[in-house]
Amino acid sequence: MRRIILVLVLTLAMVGPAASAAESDSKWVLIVVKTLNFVNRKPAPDAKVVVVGNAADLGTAQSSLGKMSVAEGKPGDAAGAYAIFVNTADEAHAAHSANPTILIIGSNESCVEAGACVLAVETQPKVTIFVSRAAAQAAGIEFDPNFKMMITEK
Amino acid sequence: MRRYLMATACAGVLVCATSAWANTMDYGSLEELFGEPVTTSATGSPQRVSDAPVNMEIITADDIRRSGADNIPDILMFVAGVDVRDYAPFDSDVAVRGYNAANSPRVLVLLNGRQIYFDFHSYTAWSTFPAQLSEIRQIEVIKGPNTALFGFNAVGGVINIVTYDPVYDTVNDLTLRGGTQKDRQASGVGTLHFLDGQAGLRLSLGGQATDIVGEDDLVRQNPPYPQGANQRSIYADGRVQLPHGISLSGEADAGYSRILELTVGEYIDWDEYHYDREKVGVDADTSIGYLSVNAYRNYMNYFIAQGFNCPTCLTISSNLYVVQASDLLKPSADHAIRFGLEYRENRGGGSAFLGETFGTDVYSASAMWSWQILSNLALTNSARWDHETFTFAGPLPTENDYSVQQYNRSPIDQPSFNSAAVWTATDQDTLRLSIARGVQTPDMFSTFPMTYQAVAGYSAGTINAFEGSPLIKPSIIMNYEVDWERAVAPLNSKLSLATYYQTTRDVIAAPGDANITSLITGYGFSGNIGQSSAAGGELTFKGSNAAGWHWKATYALITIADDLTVNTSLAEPNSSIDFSRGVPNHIVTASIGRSWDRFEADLATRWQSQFDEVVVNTAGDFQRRTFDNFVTVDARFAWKPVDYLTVAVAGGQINRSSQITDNGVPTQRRVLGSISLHY
Repeated sequence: MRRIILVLVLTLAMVGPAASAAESDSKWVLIVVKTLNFVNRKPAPDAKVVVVGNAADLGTAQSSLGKMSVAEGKPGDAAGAYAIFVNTADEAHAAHSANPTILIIGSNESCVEAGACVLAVETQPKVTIFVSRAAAQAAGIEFDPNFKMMITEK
Repeated sequence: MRRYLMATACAGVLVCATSAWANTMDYGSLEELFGEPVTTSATGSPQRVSDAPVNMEIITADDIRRSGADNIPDILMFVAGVDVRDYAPFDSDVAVRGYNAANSPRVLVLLNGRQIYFDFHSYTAWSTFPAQLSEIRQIEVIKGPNTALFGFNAVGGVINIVTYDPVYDTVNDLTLRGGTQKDRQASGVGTLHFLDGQAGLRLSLGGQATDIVGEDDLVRQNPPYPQGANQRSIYADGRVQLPHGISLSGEADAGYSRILELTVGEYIDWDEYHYDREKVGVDADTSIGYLSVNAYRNYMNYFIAQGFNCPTCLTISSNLYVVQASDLLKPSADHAIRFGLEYRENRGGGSAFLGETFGTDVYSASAMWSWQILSNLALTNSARWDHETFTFAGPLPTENDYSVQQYNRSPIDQPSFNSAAVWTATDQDTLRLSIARGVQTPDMFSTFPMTYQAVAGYSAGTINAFEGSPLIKPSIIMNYEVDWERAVAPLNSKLSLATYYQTTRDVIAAPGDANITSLITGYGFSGNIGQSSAAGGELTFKGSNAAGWHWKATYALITIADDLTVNTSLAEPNSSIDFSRGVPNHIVTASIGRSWDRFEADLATRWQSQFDEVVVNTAGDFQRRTFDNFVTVDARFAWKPVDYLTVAVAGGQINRSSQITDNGVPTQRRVLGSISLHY
C-alpha cells in the first residue's frame, strides 16, 4: 500500500505546467469550431469565414475549418460569408448590417451580453458557451435542442 | 397491454416536429466540446456532469476497458459508496450507501433508461444484463434517492448504463477471453449505417461459461449442478433520423443464464433466467418542446432449479409493460422545465402457483423545474406522484390469514421529490445542497399470496410456504446531503466530498424475513419491520495528465442504526435483515495506470472492513457469519501491436488464490487473457 501511495505522489509531481497563452488561443478556436456542429445552418465545404483583427488565431481557424476559406477582413466583408469572428459589439452590428444571416462569433462574453454576437466561448476555468437569443433569432440561427440545454443564454 | 399499444401508436400522432434536428443526444460530440461527460440521468435534461444537481459518478468507456473487469459489478466496486457482494460467478448484488443483501432491492439498474431491474422480486439479476462491455459508452452511478425522475425503487441509487448510439457512433469489436476456472468468453459487436448515415443498427452477442469453485464452503448445501454457470445474450439497438426532426428508435434483447445464486432471505439456489425485452421510442424537437415517447416490455422467466431441496421447483414469470412520455422545454434563458407521464403494468404468474393471477398498475405524473438564479447559482426541483393499484384473482388456500378481497387492496398514492441547489462558489469550488424523498414499493412477492406448497417438495405448515401481505406499506427514504467539489488544477485532479444522512421508514421485509407468521399454519408473511437510518461520507480524488498517467483514490464511511422488529437478539437471528452489522463501515480504494506508445498498464486495490451476513443453513435456520476485513488487488496489462488489435491479460484478486468475502462461494483469483479486434 505504501508503495502505491509513493507511486501516486511521484506521478502527481510529474504533472506539467499550465497551458501557454498560444495553447489557450488554439483551444479557444477549436472549441468554437466544435460548436458549429450544433448550429442548424451547415456551411458549404468551401464557405468563407472572416476574422476581424485579432478576434481569432487565423492559422488555427484555417486548420480547424478544413476547406473553408478563412481570411482576415473587416466587418463590411461579411457579405457572402458563413461566419465572422469579431472583438466588439460595434463590429458585430456592422457585420450584421452587411449580412443579416451571418453567424457572428464574439471573442468575449460582453458582445453576446450586448445582444450583438450570436455566440461566444470561454474555456477557463471550464468550457462555457454563451448564446444571445436575440442575435440568434435575428440571424435565423437555431441550435441542437440538447446543446441548447447546456449553454448559457442571454 | 391494449393501453400500452394505444399509447405507442398515439406517439406518432402527438408529435408535431418543426425543426430539422435529429434529437437523440450526441454524447460523444457534446463530451468532446465540453471536456467532460454529459448525462440526462440527473433531471431528464441534458447536462454536463459537473452541473448535475445530484451526486453522480460517471465511469467512461476508457475506465471500463482499463479496469480489466469482464462484468459491471466488478467495475462498480471502485466507486466510492458502492458496496458489491460477489456471491458467485455471474451473481453479484450492488448497493449504494449500505443496505446490501442478496437480491438487494434499493438500486434501480437501467440500460439506456429502460429498466433491467426485475420488479417481481425487486432486484437486478446481473446475469441478465444483455449488452457487451465494448458497446457501453458510460455507466452513470447516481447516489441517493431519485424516485422523482425514475419512479419507485430508485431509493438507494440509480445505475444507468448508456451504450453507444447506433447512428452517431460506430462500434465493431470481436473479443475472445479465457483463463482460470475454465472461464471462456466470446463477444461480438457490429454496427451498420444506412440512408447516408441517417439510420444505424448495432448488433451484439456474447456468451460466457465458467466452473464454480468452492461450493463445498457454502453454509447451505445443494445438490451439485454439473455444468457450472453460464450466460448468453443477444442485443440489437437501432435508430433512424427522419425529416422534420423526428427520430425513431428501437431496442431488443434476449438471453439465458444459469447460475448459483443467493436469493432473497439468503437462500442458496441454482437458478435459471430466460428473458426478452423490447423497446420503441420517438423523439422530436417540436414547437411545444422536446418530446419523447418510449414504450417497452420486459419478460422474465425465473426458474429455481434446485432451491429449497426441491427437485423440480418453482417457475415464476413476469411481464412488465411501461409507457413513458415527456416534454422538455426551455421557456426562457434561465429556466428549463420537464413534464412527464408514465404508465406501468406489471403481471406475474408461474407454474409454482395455484392458478392465481396478480399484478399492479402504476400511473405517474412528474415535473422538473431548473432555475439558473444567478450565473453561479442554480436551483432544481423535481416532483412526482405515483398511484399504484393492485389486482388479484384466483384460489387462496384456506390456511391463509387474508381474503381475496383483502389482496385486492386499496391503492398506494405516494409523492416523491428531489430538490437541490448548486452553487459555483469559486472557479475551483462547487457546493451542492440536496434533499430527496424516495419511495420503495413492496414487490409482487411481498404483496400477493404465492402458495408454493402445491409444488412437489413443499408442505404446508413449514417456512417453505411464503405469502405476501396485503397490509404491507411502502418504505419512505429521506436523504439530506451536502457535497463539495474542488478542481485541483496544478495536479490536473478533482477532489469530491459528499456527506449525507438518510432515514428509511417502514422497512420492507420479504416473506420469511419479516418474522411474521400465520396464526393458523405458520406461513411466513412479508411485513414492515421498523426504521433504519444511515450517515456517512465519500471522498474521491481523481485525475490524469498528459504523460498518460491516471489515478484515483476513494474512501467511503457509513454507519447504520437499525430500529427493527427482527434480529433483536444477536445470538439468535430470525431474519437475514441486519443492516447495521451487515455493512462494511469503511471501504478504501486506490488505482493508478499509465498508457504509453502501444501499452496500457493498470493496478487497482480495494480494502473493506469487516461485516456480518445472516444466511439460511441446511437445517433451514438463520445463521450469523462474520467476514473479516480483506484486500483485493486487480491488475491489467495490454498491448496494441496494431491499431485494430489489443492483446491483454487481466487479473482479479491477484493477491490471494481464494478468500471468503460473503455468504456466497469463496472469491477466486482470476487471470484472464483476451484478444480483441476493433475495426
